[in-house]
Amino acid sequence: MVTSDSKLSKTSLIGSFLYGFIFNRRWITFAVLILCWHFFTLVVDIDLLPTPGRVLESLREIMRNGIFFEQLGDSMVRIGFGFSLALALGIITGVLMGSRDFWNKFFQDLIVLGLSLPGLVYALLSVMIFGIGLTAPVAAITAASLPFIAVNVREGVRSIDKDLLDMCRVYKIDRVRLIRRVILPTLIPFIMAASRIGFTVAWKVAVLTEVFGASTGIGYQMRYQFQIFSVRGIVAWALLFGLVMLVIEYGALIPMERYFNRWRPTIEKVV
Amino acid sequence: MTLETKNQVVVQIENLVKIFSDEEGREHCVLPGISLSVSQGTLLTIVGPSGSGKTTLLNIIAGLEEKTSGTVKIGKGAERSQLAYVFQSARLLPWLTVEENLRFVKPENTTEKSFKEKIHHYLGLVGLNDVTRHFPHQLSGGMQQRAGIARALCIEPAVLLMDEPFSHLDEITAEQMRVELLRIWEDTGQTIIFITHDMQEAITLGDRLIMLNFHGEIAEDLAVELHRPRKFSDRSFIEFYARSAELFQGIRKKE
Repeated sequence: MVTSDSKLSKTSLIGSFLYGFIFNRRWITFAVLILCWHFFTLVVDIDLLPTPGRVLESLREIMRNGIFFEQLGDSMVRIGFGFSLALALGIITGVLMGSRDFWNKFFQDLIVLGLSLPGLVYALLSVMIFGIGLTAPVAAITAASLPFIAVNVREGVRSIDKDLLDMCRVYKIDRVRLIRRVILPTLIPFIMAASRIGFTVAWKVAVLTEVFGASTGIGYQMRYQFQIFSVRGIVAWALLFGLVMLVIEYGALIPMERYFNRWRPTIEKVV
Repeated sequence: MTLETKNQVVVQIENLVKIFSDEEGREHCVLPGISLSVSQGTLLTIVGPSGSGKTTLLNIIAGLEEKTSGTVKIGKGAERSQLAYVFQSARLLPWLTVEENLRFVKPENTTEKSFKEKIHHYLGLVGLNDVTRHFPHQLSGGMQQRAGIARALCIEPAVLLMDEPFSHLDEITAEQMRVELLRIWEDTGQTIIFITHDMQEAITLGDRLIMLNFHGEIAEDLAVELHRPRKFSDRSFIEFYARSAELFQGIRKKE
């Protein structure tokens, strides 16, 4: 009667990433990409197009003099503040929209507008309004990622099971337990999905803001490479940027998802 | 159980009226004024055609729906006593294990320790001792419903309300569950109000059988004085069933 395996035991994450990378042939993606790139630079005769080897040189340079972690740190602080603020405000907005018709109507059009405006608009405006400093990137990041979070949380609130709420009423469940045991577990997958999108948007807007209005950070470094017209510099920074995203994905987002989804039936093979 | 407690009334309903208003403001009378008292330890089954207000009646007793007028008293004192409700589906919290689902309903005035003992007692009673750490999705429908029943029992409610709890199960499982429910009822002396649309189920379980008609009125209120265990093949069962089915037909025809 009980399904045979619970599948609740989790292997270590880095282990499973490396395992997946090596044995599930995910390395092929990267190998093919690098090979294509290499041959492309051979075939197409453009001096400015750097070979993988030359980009690697740039990477070594950036990593060697410690500049990378310094610049990454500056960007991370901005993103950290902006994204946290967006998450907090987005959850509040989403809960209001999901539970009260008035607030849903109030925010509806603002959210649509917010979702559709390009990140560039927030970046430009906030730099012009707040100048150079921490406020500009934080404001831009918050404004850009808040709508994504609010929309997801609203759907989460709407998906709260009314039958479970009735059950709680019969058993006289107090408010604290209701929120902790029923409302939050329902919302968490939605907040996770929201964070995923919101965080990506936050990164993009942070980099944009740094391009226009900062003297440090990954975005600023990219502008600098642009100004000295170094294609390989930009590619190197972009690669490192992507690497950081992968680390965050496997180091934080996936473990969190696994933890919060541990009660769910696994659906590994749908097709 | 002494005769005195046996005759104690745990549910007292007087002139209960429920009127719904639809969007166009038209009023629909679901319950026109039911009066009913249920004494301690009774297993009352209520049958009625769909739309007769069975679930509404149960929901009002449970406090899930507002009544239009009338009184509903539960328990002995003035204070509203604890109730338990077993729904058509188990309504377990999917992110909590079976044991955690039971711990979730711990009444405020119960200590952690004594409630833990109760949880294990009632999980044992429904035969789920081996799966206390499983999540609901890892259990079959029947086992989920058992967990729902254990959850209802572990708060030791004044009344246990059951709304077609076995209707979503396959017939073989449902039959097992009926036997189990009767065993638990005999073990605990729990007062139960059990709603069903299935006459055979109502007679198998109940020691009192109420039939509602389309207007939400009590059309019949019968004592089911058949010996237990009841089998559908027993002559006395068949006779009682035939008589009840005929009454029920009559109720339906009047519509």
